[in-house]
Amino acid sequence: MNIHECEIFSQKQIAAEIFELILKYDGEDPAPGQFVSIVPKDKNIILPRPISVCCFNKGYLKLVYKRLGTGTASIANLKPKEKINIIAPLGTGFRLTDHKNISIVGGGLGVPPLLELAKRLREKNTNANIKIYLGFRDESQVILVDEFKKYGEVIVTLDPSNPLEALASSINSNLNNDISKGTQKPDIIHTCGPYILMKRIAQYAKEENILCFTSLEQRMACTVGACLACVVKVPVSSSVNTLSANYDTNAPAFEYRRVCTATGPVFNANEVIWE
Amino acid sequence: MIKIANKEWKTPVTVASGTFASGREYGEFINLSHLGAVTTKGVSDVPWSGNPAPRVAETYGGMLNSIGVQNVGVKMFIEKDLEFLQNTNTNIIVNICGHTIDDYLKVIEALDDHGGAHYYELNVSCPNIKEGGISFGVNAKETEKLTSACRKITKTPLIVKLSPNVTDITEIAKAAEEAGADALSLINTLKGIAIDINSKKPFLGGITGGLSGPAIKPIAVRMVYETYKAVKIPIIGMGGIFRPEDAIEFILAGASAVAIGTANFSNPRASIEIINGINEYLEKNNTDMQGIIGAAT
Repeated sequence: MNIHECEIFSQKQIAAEIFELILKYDGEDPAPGQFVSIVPKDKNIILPRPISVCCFNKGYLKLVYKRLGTGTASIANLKPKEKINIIAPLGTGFRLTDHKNISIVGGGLGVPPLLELAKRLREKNTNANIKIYLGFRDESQVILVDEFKKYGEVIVTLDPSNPLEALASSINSNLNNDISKGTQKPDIIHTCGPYILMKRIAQYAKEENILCFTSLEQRMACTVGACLACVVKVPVSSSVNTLSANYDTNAPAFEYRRVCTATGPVFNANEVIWE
Repeated sequence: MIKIANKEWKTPVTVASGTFASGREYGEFINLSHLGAVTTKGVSDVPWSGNPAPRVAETYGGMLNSIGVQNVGVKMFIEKDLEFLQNTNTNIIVNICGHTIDDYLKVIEALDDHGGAHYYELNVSCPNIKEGGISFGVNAKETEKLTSACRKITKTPLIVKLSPNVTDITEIAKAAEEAGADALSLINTLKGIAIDINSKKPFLGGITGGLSGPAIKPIAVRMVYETYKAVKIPIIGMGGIFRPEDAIEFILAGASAVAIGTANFSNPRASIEIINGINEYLEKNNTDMQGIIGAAT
């Protein structure tokens, strides 16, 4: 990780309150699932804003984010040619394994970091069977679908009623339908989205004994591993981030691990205590 | 450049406990040896798991934190961090926390057995610990008891970190000085609550948190100003220092050194930029630190 001064290449709105920001970036190549931290330019904003890397291509970094509060509003005001400081790359990303049957499951704002993952998995294995399940609240929130189509079969779920549980169920039933139709069960699932969605996918993976990686989110302060603000509960005995799908049914004692650096944001779903 | 308890500091700037871990992460952005000292996160005798998430909330001009001094305990701290710190070529201040006097003594004994540090900072002011911690720091008698118990078992200079959550900070400051403290650091965070108006519940997992950042600076400067007039031992001033001008205000109010906390999050190089700014101010005014410490009092 380091601080990089980046020039804004472009900024555009791509869905309701959702923006695509492209930066010129000459730092270390980010891995899929890693994130960057935007250092606030506005002196009234105290904390840096962590945003996942949507896509990286030859010196250009694409970030997709939603304008939600004052921090993201100030990012949305950035114009081409302006310069900002970012801390990058941060965190431990998704694992690029040799599995042949891969499912990628994204919901809402969890979708962007999965794009670089889909791209890299396709580059790594041109013969892999990559299924991409994307869920959005409604039409106004749909992002990046055409880009995902370059890397695998895309199944989009819309749920206008918006309960996250329903979104998780419909993605779950799509997965199950595919399997009952004779499609091979995935060897690995990568997921990022609302907590309830990831929790449901993690449960499904556990029931089916499928290796599952999940990118978690938590409020951050420093974003670089120093302050211990952004923690999630993991079992005390957890080695964290092993490539194992061994499910232990005993409920173990927990400890708090950081989402931001060496241990996250991507965790083996089996090594997270879901609440 | 300055001296605290007879040890020289290359620059009058350290970092505030809890914002900097043991320096490894920020060592990627700055040369730690340019700091006057590195101040570690709180270390307890056994591991502490800390408070439930969310642990931070940004507020106007500041932030609330409720980390709860999550730490691996002194044994793992010695194994993982102490040697790294001893090789940083600057002073080390180990921040120590506990629920009872005995907890503090155990940490000091363990550290002294392993080469120790240049200073121990007794954290009697963390608002995020349920028992112990701040309850020592809001009571002059308890501060005196804890400080003198620690004083008896170690020769390492002691810094007592004071809480602003008191009626008269000078009473606590004098109690610490009388009990043998070599220096004081102030202020710790101010206790606060942020409420999420959508869920209609407190935002932080720990409900209350400690407020830091520019919003608290005038309070911190006032407390340094009052304490400087009440005690003879040096003061490390902190609370919302984001710019060199902020640090200079603290020094003029009576701080011999300052600590950078929340500003590290906004700008990982803040501490070094503030050191450079202080030097420029001293040059411009054709003076040195001794010429400006407490000059406004």
